[in-house]
Amino acid sequence: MADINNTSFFRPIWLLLLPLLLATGALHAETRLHITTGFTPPVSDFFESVLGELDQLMPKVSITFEVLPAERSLILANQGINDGECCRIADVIQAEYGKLLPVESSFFSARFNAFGKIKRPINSFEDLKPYTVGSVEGWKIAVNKVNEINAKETHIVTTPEQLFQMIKENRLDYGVVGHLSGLQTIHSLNLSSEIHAIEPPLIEKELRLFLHEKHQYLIPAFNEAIQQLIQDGTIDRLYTQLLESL
Amino acid sequence: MEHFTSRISRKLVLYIVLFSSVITLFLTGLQLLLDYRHGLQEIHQRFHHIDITNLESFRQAMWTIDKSSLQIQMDGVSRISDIIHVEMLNEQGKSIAQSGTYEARDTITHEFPITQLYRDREIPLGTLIVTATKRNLYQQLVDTAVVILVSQAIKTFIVSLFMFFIFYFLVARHLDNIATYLKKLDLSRKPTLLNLDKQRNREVPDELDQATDAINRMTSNIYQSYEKASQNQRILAEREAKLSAILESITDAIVIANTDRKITQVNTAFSELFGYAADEALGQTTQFLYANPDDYLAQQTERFNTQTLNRPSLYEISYRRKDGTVFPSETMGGAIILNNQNPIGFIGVIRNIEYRKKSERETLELQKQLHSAQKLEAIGQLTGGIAHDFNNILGSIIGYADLSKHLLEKSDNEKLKRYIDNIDTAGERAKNLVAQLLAFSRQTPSTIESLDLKPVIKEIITLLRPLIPSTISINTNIQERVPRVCMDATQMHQLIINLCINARDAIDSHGIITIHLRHQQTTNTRCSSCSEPVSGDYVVLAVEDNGSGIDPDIVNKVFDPFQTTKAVGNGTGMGLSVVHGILHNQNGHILVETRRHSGSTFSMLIPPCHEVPQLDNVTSGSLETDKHFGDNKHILIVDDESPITSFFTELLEGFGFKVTAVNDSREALNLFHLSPNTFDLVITDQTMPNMTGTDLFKAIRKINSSIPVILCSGYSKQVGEKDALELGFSSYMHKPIRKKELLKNIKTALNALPAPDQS
Repeated sequence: MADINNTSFFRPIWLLLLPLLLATGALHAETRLHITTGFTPPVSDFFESVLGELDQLMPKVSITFEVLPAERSLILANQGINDGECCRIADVIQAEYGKLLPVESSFFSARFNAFGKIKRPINSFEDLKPYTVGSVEGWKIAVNKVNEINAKETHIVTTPEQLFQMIKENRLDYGVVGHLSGLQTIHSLNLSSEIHAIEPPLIEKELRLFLHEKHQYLIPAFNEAIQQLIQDGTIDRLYTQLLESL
Repeated sequence: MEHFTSRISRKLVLYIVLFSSVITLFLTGLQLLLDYRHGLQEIHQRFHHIDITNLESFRQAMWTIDKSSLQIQMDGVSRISDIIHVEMLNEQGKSIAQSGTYEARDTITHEFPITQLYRDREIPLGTLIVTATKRNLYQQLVDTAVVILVSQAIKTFIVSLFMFFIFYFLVARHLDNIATYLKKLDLSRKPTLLNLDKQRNREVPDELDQATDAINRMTSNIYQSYEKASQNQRILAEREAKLSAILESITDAIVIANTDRKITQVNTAFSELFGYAADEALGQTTQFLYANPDDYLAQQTERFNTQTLNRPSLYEISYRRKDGTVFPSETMGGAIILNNQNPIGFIGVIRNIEYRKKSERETLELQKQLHSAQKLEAIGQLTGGIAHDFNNILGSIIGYADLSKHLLEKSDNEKLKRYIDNIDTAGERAKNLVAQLLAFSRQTPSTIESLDLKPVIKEIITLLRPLIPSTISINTNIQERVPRVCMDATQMHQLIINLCINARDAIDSHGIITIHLRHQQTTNTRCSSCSEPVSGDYVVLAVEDNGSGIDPDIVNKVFDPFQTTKAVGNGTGMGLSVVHGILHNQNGHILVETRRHSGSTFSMLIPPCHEVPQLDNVTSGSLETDKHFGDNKHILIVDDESPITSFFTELLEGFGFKVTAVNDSREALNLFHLSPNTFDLVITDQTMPNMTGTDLFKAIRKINSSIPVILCSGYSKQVGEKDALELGFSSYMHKPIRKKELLKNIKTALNALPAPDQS
């Protein structure tokens, strides 16, 4: 009987304290997001910079960033182990990874340019047909296009370094690779004087930030924050800084 | 090479090979099992090695989803020994890469889960599935097994060969010598000692030395025992041979059975008597031998059982032969008892008494026949004995009756004449009775002539008809050609009449008498009166009636004299006796067939006649009325009976003869000697004291060789009519002599005298 009486005594106190505790927690809550990317530097560096800006811009969101193998990054984000993936072509990703939801605003476009020693007017993949052409595994959109043109010779290599070494050694006339990756590789291989990026890019696709569906409610906030970074020139500034470093 | 054919050595090698093979197989199996386990362990070690050396690389490749790297690593793993297939499944279980060729059979599969520790979480990346084959292990096991088995086989062969030689030299060749020694052992001779070709350790003999000593002792003991046994066997064989010879020499059948009455031994006489071969009888119970099945059980109770110690005893019993015929036996049967203990079996000594029984029956029959013949013979002798005296007496009675009647011929005393006629009739009846008795005893004088029986039968039927009632028919059944018979016609008449009268008396009122006459060959039959066997060519004269037949009790006695079924005064009982006598006197026989209430047939068997006897045709003519017939001839009459001589004297003197009567034969001889030419005729009796008629005749003939002599006899066994005529008597007269017969014979004798000298 004594225990019953004790329990009955504390019950009104708990009923008063519980709403207060919930109200306090909600006021100070912060969403921690671990967003990964499958890109490698220098693109990943650019993404890290932009996400850092977003973290700053969104006070209720705490963003951490990590570079993972490209497909692993998508898998872990889709599984919900990580919270988002930065960044992918929207229509391709959504078909395979249904639990990833894109943020509407894009702050980066993936561009694939032809690189070669001779700057010829190459405006489309068809213009590469008379030449020996190569590309790098991993970027399916570029590799597929190269294979489709039925060029004089086609070589798909493992790394950008292999591609540019082959161009250097005149084994390839042109290589199709991401613009930033190509520039960084040329820079790292000290081939800037011999090999050039030929404009315009053969492919240009906007990339979107993806969040796991559990964070769907944050998508408008991220959209708004990205718009703000585009509008205030932060994105251009960060991209220009990147290009200057290459 | 024959040394190496030792069976024990071969068996030893065989057993070694077999045992070694079994052990080898067992050890090889064990070795293979261990190798198999070791091989499996090695495969699992390879899995473990993959785990510790390759799994991190796989984890990296899976983390980075580096498929080319993943493939390279999988190819590397698949080249590890025994690994035939490597496959990587993603976290969703889908195959994303594989290397090698998967096989489900004889494989071991191991799965390696691939995970990544990421942000304090174990994240499944996929599963590595490695498949290892056990085929190499199996091949290795096969190679190992082949090596082990071949090496063990070689080793076993070499060891076996070695053991074969060792065993042969140490044991088998000695055993072979022992066997050869024992095979050649001839216990009929003293055996030599067995010596083995080996060094003997005198202090510590080995097993072969001990065996050699034991065999030598044993052969010595066996030889001694064999000697005794041979001796006993010889004795036993001799006893058995003797016993067998005794059994076989016994003409009685011998049956020896065990206590179950199953036959264990028979002799040859058994097979001959019963018709069963020994093999057919042995093993069977004796039941099949008994004619009456009840006898088998009865003998079991009485004699052939193991409860009573019945020594063999003699009894009569009937048995049955194989052909079903039954024979009587005299059997000595009972238990065979050994040492006064329980019976060890039974014996039956069986003697066939079939012939003895038959002989006894025949002997009895012969005794009856002999008795009958002796009886007839005795009656005959008796008859012959008294006939002489009777005839002498009757000769006087009839003779004087004749003289009296002659004297009274002119007298008026009719009463006296009737008395004398009665005396004469009675004398005649007595004479006939004596004649019948003599006929029965075959001593009647007869006149044998060749007779054709056909007219005789017709004549007799004519004579019989008045004697047979008209209700009885007399038929004849006469064959056309029947030979003549040599018989006395009067006797023949008498025979047929006697039989027909008997037939008449056997028929109550109505009936038929049939007289058969035929010529036939008779074989294998027996005379109903004399019981002699009859066969040959006979004229059969049979008298058949359909009357009452003859009682079987008396059918054998019908030929006995005075045997009659007729009322007193209706018959003398001599009818068939006379038939018997007359027939047998002429070498004939008689057969009797009788059927109770159906009649009888008496068949007389008479030999056909081939000689025709000459009949004396001398007739008395009117001698009885010729008073001067004697013509004063001088007759010497000799008879010891004075009434006879007186009768003759008075009779003959009445007919003109001069008579000198003498009652002593020697006196008569003296008288004749004194005046031999005085007498013209001598009439002498045969049976006389001092000198018989024949002796007197011989003496007179010495004095006067031409004087006729007539022999008279009441009865004489020594001299009959034939004998008298052969001796030279003029004639023979049978007493009692009638006047007529006397005068006829005297005339015949005197007529035979030579004519007187005319000069």
